[in-house]
Amino acid sequence: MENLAWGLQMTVLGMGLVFALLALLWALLMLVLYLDKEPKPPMSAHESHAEAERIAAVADDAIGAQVPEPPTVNGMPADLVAAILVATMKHKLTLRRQAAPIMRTYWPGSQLFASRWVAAGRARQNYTWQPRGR
Amino acid sequence: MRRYKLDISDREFVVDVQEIAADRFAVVVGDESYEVTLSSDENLGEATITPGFQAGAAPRVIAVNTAARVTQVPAPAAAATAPAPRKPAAGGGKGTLTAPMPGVILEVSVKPGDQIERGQQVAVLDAMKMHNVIGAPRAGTVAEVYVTDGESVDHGDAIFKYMED
Amino acid sequence: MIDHETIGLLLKGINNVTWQSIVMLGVSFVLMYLAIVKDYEPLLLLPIAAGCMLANLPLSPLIADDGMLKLLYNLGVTNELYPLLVFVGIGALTDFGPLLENPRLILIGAAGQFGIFLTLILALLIGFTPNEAASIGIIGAIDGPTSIYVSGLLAPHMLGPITVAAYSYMSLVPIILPPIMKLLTTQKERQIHMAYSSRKISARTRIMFPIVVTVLVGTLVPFATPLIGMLMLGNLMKESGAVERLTKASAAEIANTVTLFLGLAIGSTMVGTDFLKPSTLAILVLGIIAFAVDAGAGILFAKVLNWISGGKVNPLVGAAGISAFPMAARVVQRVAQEEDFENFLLMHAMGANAAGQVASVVAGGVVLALMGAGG
Repeated sequence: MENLAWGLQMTVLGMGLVFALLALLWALLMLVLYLDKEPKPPMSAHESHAEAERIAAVADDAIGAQVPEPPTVNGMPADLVAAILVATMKHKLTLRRQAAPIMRTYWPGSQLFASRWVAAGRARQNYTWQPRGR
Repeated sequence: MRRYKLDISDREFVVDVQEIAADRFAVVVGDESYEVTLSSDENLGEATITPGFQAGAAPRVIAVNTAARVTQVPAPAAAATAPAPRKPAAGGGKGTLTAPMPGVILEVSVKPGDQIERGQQVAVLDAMKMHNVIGAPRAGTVAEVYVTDGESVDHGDAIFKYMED
Repeated sequence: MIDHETIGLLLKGINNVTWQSIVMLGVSFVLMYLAIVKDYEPLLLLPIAAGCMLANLPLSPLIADDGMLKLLYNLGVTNELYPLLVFVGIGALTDFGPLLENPRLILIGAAGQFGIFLTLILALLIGFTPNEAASIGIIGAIDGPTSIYVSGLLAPHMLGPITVAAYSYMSLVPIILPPIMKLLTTQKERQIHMAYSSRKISARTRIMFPIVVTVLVGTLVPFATPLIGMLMLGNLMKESGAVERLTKASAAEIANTVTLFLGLAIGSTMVGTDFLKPSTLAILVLGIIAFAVDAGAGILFAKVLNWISGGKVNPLVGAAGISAFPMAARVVQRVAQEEDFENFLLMHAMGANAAGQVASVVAGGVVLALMGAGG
């Protein structure tokens, strides 16, 4: 039972100390937080309302005056169209450089389209090989 | 598929292009995908694009290729320097879900136009190294999503907005 | 050529297998299973299990006088080096921001240490000596390094079971905590939302915090100076941002190395003949009681705070007042979200959890001071 009494004493003392220490820490923390707070002048509700109105008024002006409607092409933002165009063109050029098969709008041998190379070859077929004047 | 990054008037665009056919491309800009058909590709000689050439009201200058020299004209300050206000102010406003705590968005599970149920996963927020699933507060349709994967958010930053009913 | 002696030497290993060592090998396999398959604190449990296995192989040279495990043990466990180094790493990983945003949570951390003292009384009643009882109670700090530190000073002979209990309960936080939380709170209480105060904490305050805590706690409880000093050193390095390389090394390389050494050394103390005693079982049981009482006291204290504040504190946050940073806070968040997916308690729980971390160190120091040991 002596042990129990000692244990109880430990509990009360221990918990008391832990709480007291942490409460002290709390107080100190609050002090640090208080000291470190950015100085902010107190403002009455009326003043803050006026301030808000002022900012809102400036914002209203700004919306009306300075920010034009973003330019659009057929209802799509112009910069977006430009981005898409540049990207597609770049992509097409890339593919052409890679000679990707998908770049063939017309299959080889098509009568609808001929590359310069093919066109030159076809044109040569139309020339006679016999010397002129014979 | 190739990924292109462009700067247009100091705004960065990431454009993914996938060829479908010779002149048809699937293009993804941001979260939107477009199907683009290049119907005409003409050479107009050595014409330069001049600043006077305007499609819309604002003098927004676009460099289409490196050959075309572009001179920047002094534009009205607000239009040229202020980037488009993509994010609504903290707190968002009506119909907006805001981040419950600071963290990093790991995953966005919805995109504009999605029909969502109450409680459906909208995004995964990594806060204090814990993955938190953010659920939709009510059923509705997503109008706009303001965050992307890997974006860090503060408490109260808007995540997405519901379509007005 | 082959006589009895040779055969005896060849079969030496098999002849020296004892039932205790077989049991302990089984224990080490269970720990490995928990670490590898169940993924409970594998960083600690796996080295402990490996150390236990290696130490319990027959005639293991590793725990002979110059054996590696013995060396590791003498290198850092007896003189408290490992737990203190681990604390530097914990400090470098702990974000005290949530606590600074909500300083009153620090009291929840204090409440979360109640189990230490209750268990101390229980251990006394069972018949442990005061020193042993205090060491057992400190399991209730649910903080491995603190447990090692305190028991290493007060009852070095019980270091093995106490550490195993502390670390295994730490890794079992996700399993043990939810039932206690659900038992002690009503559904309505679990659904209380806590407004997140996004008070901006300046870098100056964040740097001041570890210094202030070290000076205050170190002055008032000198016995806690090593623990709190190292914890706050890690945090100071992190928050100052001036020594990023040291912070990274403490949080990763040093912490990892020390964890490996610590795990192996602790595992090697679990030698069957010493470990398999009724007192070990008593320690394990008392440890889980300490854990449960800690969590319960935290929750009840949070309930009191809730009552005082008029329903603004979710009692679940109290369960994070135990140490075990940051698992306890994550568990709180998970339980709260199970109840209501729109409820985000994580930051509050993290605050309480960080407070618990500080409080358990303070409690360890207080226990040492009251026992008049250490320093």
